Amino acid sequence: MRSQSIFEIAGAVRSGKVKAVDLAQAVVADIAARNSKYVCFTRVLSDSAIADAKAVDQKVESGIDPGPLAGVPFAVKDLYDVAGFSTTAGAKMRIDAEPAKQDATVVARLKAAGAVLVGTLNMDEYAYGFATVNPHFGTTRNPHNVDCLAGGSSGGSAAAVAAGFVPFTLGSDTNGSVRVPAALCGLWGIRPADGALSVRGTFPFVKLLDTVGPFTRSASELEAIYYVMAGSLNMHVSPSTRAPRIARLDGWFAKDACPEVLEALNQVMAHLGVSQVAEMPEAETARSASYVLTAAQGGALHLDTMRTRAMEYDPAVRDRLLAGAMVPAALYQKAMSFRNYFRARVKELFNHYDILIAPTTPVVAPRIDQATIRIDGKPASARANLGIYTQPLSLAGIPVASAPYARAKGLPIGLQFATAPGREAMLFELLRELESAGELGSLKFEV
Amino acid sequence: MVQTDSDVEQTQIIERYRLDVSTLLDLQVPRECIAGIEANCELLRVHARKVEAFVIPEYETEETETTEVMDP
Repeated sequence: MRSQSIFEIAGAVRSGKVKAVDLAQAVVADIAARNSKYVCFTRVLSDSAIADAKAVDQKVESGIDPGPLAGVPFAVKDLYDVAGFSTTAGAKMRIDAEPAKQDATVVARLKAAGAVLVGTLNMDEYAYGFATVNPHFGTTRNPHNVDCLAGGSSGGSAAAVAAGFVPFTLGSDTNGSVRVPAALCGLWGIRPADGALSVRGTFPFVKLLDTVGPFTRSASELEAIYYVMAGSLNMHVSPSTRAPRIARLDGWFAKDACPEVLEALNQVMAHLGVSQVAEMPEAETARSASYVLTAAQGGALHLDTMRTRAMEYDPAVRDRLLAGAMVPAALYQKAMSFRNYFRARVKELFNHYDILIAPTTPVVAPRIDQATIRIDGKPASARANLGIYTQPLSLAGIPVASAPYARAKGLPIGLQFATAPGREAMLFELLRELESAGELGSLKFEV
Repeated sequence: MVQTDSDVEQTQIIERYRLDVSTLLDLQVPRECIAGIEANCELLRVHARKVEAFVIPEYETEETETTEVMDP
């Protein structure tokens, strides 16, 4: 199953050639055997997975449509509500929290489509980080090199797909927490437009910026899971009727990237025959506004808990949240006003273009013990700066996919493809074309 | 601009209250945690300065919060 697509697995289950329960049992055994190497899973839902898989098999045997994702195993970042279990959000203090009464909306939609939930996945505590270094649940390791970071905060979600445990997972993206780990682990991931996918039943971080999104091993699978999460059982939308207007993002997005990342971007642009360059106005300020709003909203969300349980937090997360709780109201308001200004400018940009392309991260996966990378010619915190290209796009509220460059020589390289809300079908179409042409694609990984 | 004595005093008061966690937030945080909080305050200040330095045209501040879907 490690090399089979979602469509192949579902096809085999729907035809009765493969039993969903056999698949679920195999995944549970695989997690038990290999998870300690990668530290992806925080919980394995053996009993419910096998019960759900049996229900799929019974539908097949009874001639009832089991759904387009029949028997496909998946797992979710441990901030999605799963009925009957505590949603930890990566925090030790929440291990005994009141169990969720129902599944998060997107989890329920995937289950209704026949997918089988097998577990929950590691993350930075309360999603505040780009590393998935969690003092309570461990450090998730990059399957392409276990001495390197998987990225975060949805690192467990990315590593679980890259290591071949499951063909797709769900993460969340506030400032880049789907796109950064997707890039570092060589996967496809998407941050949806604000409000496009339901966040109901997910533990919040920054409500202003929080979104949910999937990780997959191909463009067509990304599209399929996206539309099921959006509430459609039709996993493919008709192609657009005109060619996309494409440009590479310059300025902030061309600064500080390492040569191999820029080379990957140039190769893809050359394949597309596009030399057009676009500037996203005030991208650097947008990153700063996103940083301020994240700290302020995150700090405010946790302030009551920190008054009594501050020492139970991951110290790195606690100190960020406490600093954020002290952001003055005037600064918060200025950042909000800037956000409105910035979103209007980005909207104007999409009057001229359909797809904007940029690196996802400035560097490939740093080593776990690597403290700094070079930003603006100076050493800077590796973990804090992995999101320098994702944060401005989060503030814009637009759909952005991260796609793996197919010809990376060493560790994976990710590229961002941003579009306007409402043009997602055009985005997916371009990603599929670039995958077919061999420009984009998940790197082969020997388990 | 030349700082006057009252400016300095005001700055010190603001700095003190922004960083004095136990006073402002009434938190039971050991003293050894203050260094980490201050380091994060410094990082926040770097970003705060960029936001504060940006002048937003007055007419630009009225947009609604809704994400508008554009023509496909």
